[in-house]
Amino acid sequence: MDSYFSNMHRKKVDMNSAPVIKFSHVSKTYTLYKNDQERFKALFRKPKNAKTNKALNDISFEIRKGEAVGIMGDNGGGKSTLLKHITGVTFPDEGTIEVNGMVAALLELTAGFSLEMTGRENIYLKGYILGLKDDEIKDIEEKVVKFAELGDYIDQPVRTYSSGMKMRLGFAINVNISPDILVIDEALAVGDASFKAKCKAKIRETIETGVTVLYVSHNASSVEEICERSIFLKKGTLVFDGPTRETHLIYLIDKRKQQLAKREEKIAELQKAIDNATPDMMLTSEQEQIDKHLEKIAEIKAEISGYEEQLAAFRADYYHKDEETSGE
Amino acid sequence: MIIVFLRDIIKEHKGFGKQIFMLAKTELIKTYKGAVIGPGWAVVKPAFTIFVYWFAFSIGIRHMGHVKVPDIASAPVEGYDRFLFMLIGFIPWFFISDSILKGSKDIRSHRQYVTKINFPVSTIMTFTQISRIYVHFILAGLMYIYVAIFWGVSWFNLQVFFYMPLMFLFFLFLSWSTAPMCAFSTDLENAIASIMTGFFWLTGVVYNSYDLPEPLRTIMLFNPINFFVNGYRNCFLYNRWFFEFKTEFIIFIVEFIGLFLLGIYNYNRLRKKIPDVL
Repeated sequence: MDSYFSNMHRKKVDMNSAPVIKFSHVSKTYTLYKNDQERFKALFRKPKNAKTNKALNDISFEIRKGEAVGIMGDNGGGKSTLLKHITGVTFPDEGTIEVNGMVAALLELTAGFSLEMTGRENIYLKGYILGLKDDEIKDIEEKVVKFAELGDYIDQPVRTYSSGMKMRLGFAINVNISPDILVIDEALAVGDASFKAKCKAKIRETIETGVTVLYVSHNASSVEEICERSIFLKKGTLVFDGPTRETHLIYLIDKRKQQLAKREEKIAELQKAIDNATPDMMLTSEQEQIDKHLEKIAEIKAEISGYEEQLAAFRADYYHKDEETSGE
Repeated sequence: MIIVFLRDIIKEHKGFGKQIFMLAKTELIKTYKGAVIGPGWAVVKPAFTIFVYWFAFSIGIRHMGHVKVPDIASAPVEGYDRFLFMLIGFIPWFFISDSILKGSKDIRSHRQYVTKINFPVSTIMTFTQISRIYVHFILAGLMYIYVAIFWGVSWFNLQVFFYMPLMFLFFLFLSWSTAPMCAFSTDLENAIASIMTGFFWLTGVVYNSYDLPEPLRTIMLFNPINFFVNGYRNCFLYNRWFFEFKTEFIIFIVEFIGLFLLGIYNYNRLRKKIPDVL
């Protein structure tokens, strides 16, 4: 998304305003049923000894109106679960979530379409689901039709659409309803290159109006372009919540440390094989592998210290500036 | 607690009226699209079923052409015409069996509304039920034409506007329990399908449930489907008021309230878990 989001101009966020999204001690545990029998039994009583997966663990944060917040983390970190809680698809086991305002989610664009209805009818349907009134939908109807570039197809049943057309319609509806909160997943696919460009421009335009943005991405540099603040989730726990640059560096350091641990583990394994071997066995390849790992480890360690330096420099600069302004 | 739960369901319906009717319409289109006679199938299928049963009972098994109903004073001496009797019983039965079978699958078959977007889930049961009552209304209208010509009209016929909404609600409340539970487990769905096949013969659709030896006759009163099947006959055949048979009416009302409370309880208990298991 790079070039589209550079030089963004966003309004200043009023940090004293009431939060638009507020998570207080939110936990979510998925129960992994061993088989269908266990699932059936769970209808009537609490499952015991069932495996559980803590997707979110005591998450608390607040997002204010107009803020753009990035969400970083590896797969399985809890990013999608978090978004599902914000869009109201899933519900927490513990804690409370407050979401004030209409949420447009650029996640499941084609979800909720009724295939037998025409594109135009589906605009209304989706509008109703989002809580809009008839006249409000009428206002955006033409904009959506134009944006989706469906031509005469707009009055045909959606089941006759190609997947790209459905996607376009879904996108057009979501960005044109003027939401209060915009949830974007970078991995979103919206069809051909020219339409993609149009989507990015539209997202940028929407972001610039000052809506609250939640932006999920593997690509931290694109998060940095949009979001001043970011949250780093790891295995369902909120590791860090702060300026994007800082979060990004912490995320990178964490990632490198994981790689380090993995390589060290491998070395230990190889070493064990060497130790257990009888003297007459030749284990040159193992030794070679260990050397290779050690080489890599040195590289990673250098990277980490580089990031740590950057982090220290950033912190000194950022928080020092803060002190100055607060001192004035 | 029940009041809070009920409030949640009402909240899910508030402001979604238009959406519910739109989706009910698509339900109908989905069922009958692509067929040459389209909605005609809604009539042809039940008509054929009724014909087959009538053939079996009136032509195949002779002397079965009339049904004796001893409770009704005004009944003809030789009994009611079997075809008329069955026709009036079948019309609510088609709706009921459809409501129970498809109603239990409502959430599972509309899973995209549950797992992908924030959707008022309880309205799924409402709009599918509306699409079913619509088909039922048309069938009942066609039936009434036959009744009017071959049996005659009376003020008692108007009672159908008591029975029909009651039937709509009763099986809607049932689906509040069954649909979330079937979303958890396909076993339950299959169990319901198996039970319903046999249940036809435990209901007085082709025979008269009043004309059974005790205690069977009383036991039959506990089957709520009998309440509606006999109720439609109250309207169109027996010319009797719904409250005249007090035991039957009271048993039904108790069941109605029980099912309502159970439905609210089950729906709210499971609502938040459904997106995780579907």
